[in-house]
Amino acid sequence: MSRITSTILIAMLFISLATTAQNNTDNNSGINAAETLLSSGSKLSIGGYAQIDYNQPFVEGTQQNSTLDIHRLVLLFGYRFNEKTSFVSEIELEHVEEVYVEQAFLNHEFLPWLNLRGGLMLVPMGIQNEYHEPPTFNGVERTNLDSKIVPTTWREIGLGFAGRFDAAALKYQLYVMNGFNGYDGAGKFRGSDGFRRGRQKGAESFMSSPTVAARVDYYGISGLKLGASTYLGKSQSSLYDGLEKDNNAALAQADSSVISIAMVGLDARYRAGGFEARGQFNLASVSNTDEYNDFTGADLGSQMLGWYLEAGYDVFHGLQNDQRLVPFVRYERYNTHAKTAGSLAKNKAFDRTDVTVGAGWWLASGAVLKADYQFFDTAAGSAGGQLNLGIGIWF
Amino acid sequence: MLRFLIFVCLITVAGVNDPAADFYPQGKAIGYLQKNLKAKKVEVSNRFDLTDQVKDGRKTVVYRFSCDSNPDAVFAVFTESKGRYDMFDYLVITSESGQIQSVHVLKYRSEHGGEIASKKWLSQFEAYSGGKLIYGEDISAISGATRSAMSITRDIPELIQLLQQALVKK
Repeated sequence: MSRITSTILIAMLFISLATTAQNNTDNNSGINAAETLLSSGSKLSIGGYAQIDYNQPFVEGTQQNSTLDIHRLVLLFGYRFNEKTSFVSEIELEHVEEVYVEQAFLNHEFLPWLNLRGGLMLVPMGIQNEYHEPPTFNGVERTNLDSKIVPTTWREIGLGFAGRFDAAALKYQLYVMNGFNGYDGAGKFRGSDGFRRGRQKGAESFMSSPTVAARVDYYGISGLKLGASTYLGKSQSSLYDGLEKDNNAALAQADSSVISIAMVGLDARYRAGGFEARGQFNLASVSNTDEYNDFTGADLGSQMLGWYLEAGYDVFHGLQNDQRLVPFVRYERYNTHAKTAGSLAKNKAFDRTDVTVGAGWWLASGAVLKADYQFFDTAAGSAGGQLNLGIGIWF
Repeated sequence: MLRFLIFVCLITVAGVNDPAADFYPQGKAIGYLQKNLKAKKVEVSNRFDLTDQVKDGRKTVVYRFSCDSNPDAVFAVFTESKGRYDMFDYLVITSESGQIQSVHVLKYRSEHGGEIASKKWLSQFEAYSGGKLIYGEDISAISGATRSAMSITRDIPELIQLLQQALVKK
């Protein structure tokens, strides 16, 4: 509770500072504080997004309660120091009670194609890790590929470059970042959701070896955006801390507590007229999983693979208003045990297929009501289904 | 040197308060004008401010540029639109009748949405001279830059209409 109070206090402080700054230069009494903040001349930006969900699972032969949750409420504060230098932060309240910082980075533009960026940043992998505001995607919940293989919202502290080339319709990001916590007295990775529990999120994170994340986007074809991402590096282990350099036994043990990750991603988004489609492919090759699983007792796969394809059509297309009504269908396959190493048998329940059918009604470009039904299937048999209703906003 | 002369020329001829603000970044904008007029030496003859007439009071300043070698002058409109969180500055170059010749983003500030500065995407506005523009129909959608793309698609028709009205009055 005290953390929430502090968050609100920080927000109020930001507002009061900005209002004071504005009042010094602007005596227009017809504008209220919020309008002053949001006016174009303001150096401070306030924004946010939220996702409020109703989930009703259906499992054959059993009764299930539904859940209602303010899944996430994120407040954005951005400050522009001058034409070149800006700071962006996002404070997230997840499930009402948990407070996280989702992004907090400083950006300095040398040239449009060369920006230096440092702080807590999103790992640029796939579509939804970077563009996760609910009005930017179909379906109440994020895709499961972007949870089980790409662990959204995946962010770590790092430093790097980003920029765009207008003539070539290209933009890039290249960061050196901290990696997953794979071991801190106990193993963090597991077969069902891969690296998800290893995210350090910039919270007193520790590093034994840095990782590299890179992405290129191409948007030179009308209506189409293509992306290619990669992530390379080892997981982090607390066993390296204080390790004596000539202690080979301890070094071997520490080496068994880390894995190497090489993840690639390809994605595409297309929109023409009322038609929209998107798709994503991710492949993660993981080495040293045999030793890691032996050492920690985990069941981490040595290869994770997944993809999805989605298509929708805006029925309100062509009408002269902001509203959109988009029925859609998505087919998604993801397997966190695409390959396993050593004696670990593949768990067929991790070879999953989801079909999602639903619709979103955009009341405005930043406000959407969503409804969908998901059919869950695995190589080991059906895993039931789920009805989802949601409210998504972004401002 | 040439740019400096043009800049001095601007101040003296147009007598504006702060031309540098309209011309940020100057070199880039003048380069585009030289290209459109197909001449190295360009002259500015008059300036008028449409800011008061533009919705939301977005800063909008027009200059008339000409050169000796080309009988056709151009209008350079320096204006801005709202991206997701920040305004972005752009230059619209039109013919003397107010038909768009080219659009160039001069300064995009936000971390996301810079895709609209793509030359290819902006070329969709070329030859536009009035009428409705529908985002996603006349102007193709661009993922990751929706807000900026919608803003500029909404603001350009208003701008061209105001410019053409101003030209008729003159």
